[in-house]
Amino acid sequence: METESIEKDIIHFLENNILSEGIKIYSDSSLRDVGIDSFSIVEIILFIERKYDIVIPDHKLIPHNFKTIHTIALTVKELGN
Amino acid sequence: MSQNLDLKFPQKIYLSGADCFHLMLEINSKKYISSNNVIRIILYFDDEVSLIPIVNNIKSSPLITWLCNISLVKGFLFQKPYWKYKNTGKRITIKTHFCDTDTLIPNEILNRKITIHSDCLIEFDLIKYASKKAALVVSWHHIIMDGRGSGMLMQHLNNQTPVTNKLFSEFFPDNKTKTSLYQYIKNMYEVKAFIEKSSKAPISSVSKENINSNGKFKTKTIVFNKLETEKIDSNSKKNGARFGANIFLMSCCAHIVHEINTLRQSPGTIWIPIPQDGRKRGGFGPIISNCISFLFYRLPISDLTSVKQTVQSINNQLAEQIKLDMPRKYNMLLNMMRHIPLNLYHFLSTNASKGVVASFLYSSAGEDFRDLNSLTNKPASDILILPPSTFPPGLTFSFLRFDNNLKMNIVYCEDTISAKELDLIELNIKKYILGDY
Repeated sequence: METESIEKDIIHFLENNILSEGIKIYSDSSLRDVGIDSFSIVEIILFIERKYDIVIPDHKLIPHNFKTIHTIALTVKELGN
Repeated sequence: MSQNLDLKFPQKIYLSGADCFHLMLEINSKKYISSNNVIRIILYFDDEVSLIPIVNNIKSSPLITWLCNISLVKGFLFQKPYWKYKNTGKRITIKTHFCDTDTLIPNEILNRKITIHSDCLIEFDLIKYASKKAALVVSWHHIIMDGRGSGMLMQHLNNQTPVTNKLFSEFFPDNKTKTSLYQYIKNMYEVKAFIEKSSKAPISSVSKENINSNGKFKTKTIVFNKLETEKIDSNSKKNGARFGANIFLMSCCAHIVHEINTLRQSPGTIWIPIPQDGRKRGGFGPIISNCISFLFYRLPISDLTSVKQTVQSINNQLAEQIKLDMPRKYNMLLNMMRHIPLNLYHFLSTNASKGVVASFLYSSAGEDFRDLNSLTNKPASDILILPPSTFPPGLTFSFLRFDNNLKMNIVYCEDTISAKELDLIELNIKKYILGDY
């Protein structure tokens, strides 16, 4: 799994399911600043777990890992490896 | 914020599916005199001057003016209810109260009812305390706006720039629908089957059966300090609440209600519908209308053996419902129900659970008010949110985080919860939430 491709998947999921029309998000955007709340994070976690067939362990569910799409992608890549 | 006279005020706004749910509740609650489906936010300030800009913005807000000039048209037979705007020249009036005791909210405000027939469904009150501190109370009928909407309203009221037509249109729900009738009907059957299974009787509720409650509603607030709040967050992790502390708190509340039901010798399955914001994130609206759906948690006695067990059950039910896209599908069902006469709506909503609306109600302000201290021109020194007094079931737990402290409000009807039971709730909530796990 490449970080860039994970980032693309998450951006596609967010733009199609979570964000208002016209809101752009980049891999280094702060998720909080674009309006992503804790429930949206739950949706992201469940999307990732389904998409990559992994379980994100509880000790990885920390704010730092869910700060930006890039930090999420790094976490997913690490788990995938 | 100056009022732009060229703004296009929408003449007709259809109620959303969740708005109609509140309309159905209002019709049903007529026999319960003390019920009041009103939410209040109380913002405390260290000085009166802090309030001047926000008061000016309230008075000049086109959205508040729109709200002052609407009336409800319930529709005939299968027509959808809607808000009709007619410019009658009405403007918001903000009442000022004087109070000797800091933080006290006069009963005149707390006991004031707002119904669907009130002149205006949103009210603002200023309280000036003898100490020169002040408070702003925003009260509104739940039918016009949900919790997230109120957070967006505060953002709008704090904004100094003029409202454009484009922005103004974002404050209202988009009535366009892109779903085919076939999809609607397919979802409806799927959701109906899910709800019937989830809410299947018998459900154990804190409200006694078939009582026509005229009892008063009371509020008990418990504040957890920073250290206690940190322990709560740690306890939620220890109990496996991987999707956040909310599920841990909800589980603790379920255990408390279960204990009360056990003491009353009527323990049973707990059923809790939890509101779920259905807005897309990152926008400025909609502010008007309830854009919510629900997640439903069914907790049989076997899931109430420990808090950890309950958290695990809720985690699984949450994941399953998200996987099945249930909140969006339930929202579509609510939208369909708008066409149904309200009495039939009430029957259909409570039939599977044999009249039980919920074992108890639970709400959390989530992050809606996390930044509220920066939304007003000067930081608020404290915030309190009072959830609606809803009977049945007559017991609501609501949580809010402000300034690193967790606050819990217990809103209860004195016909539902006795003084002794309230003591038990207070004792047990601390036992469960702050316990050594």
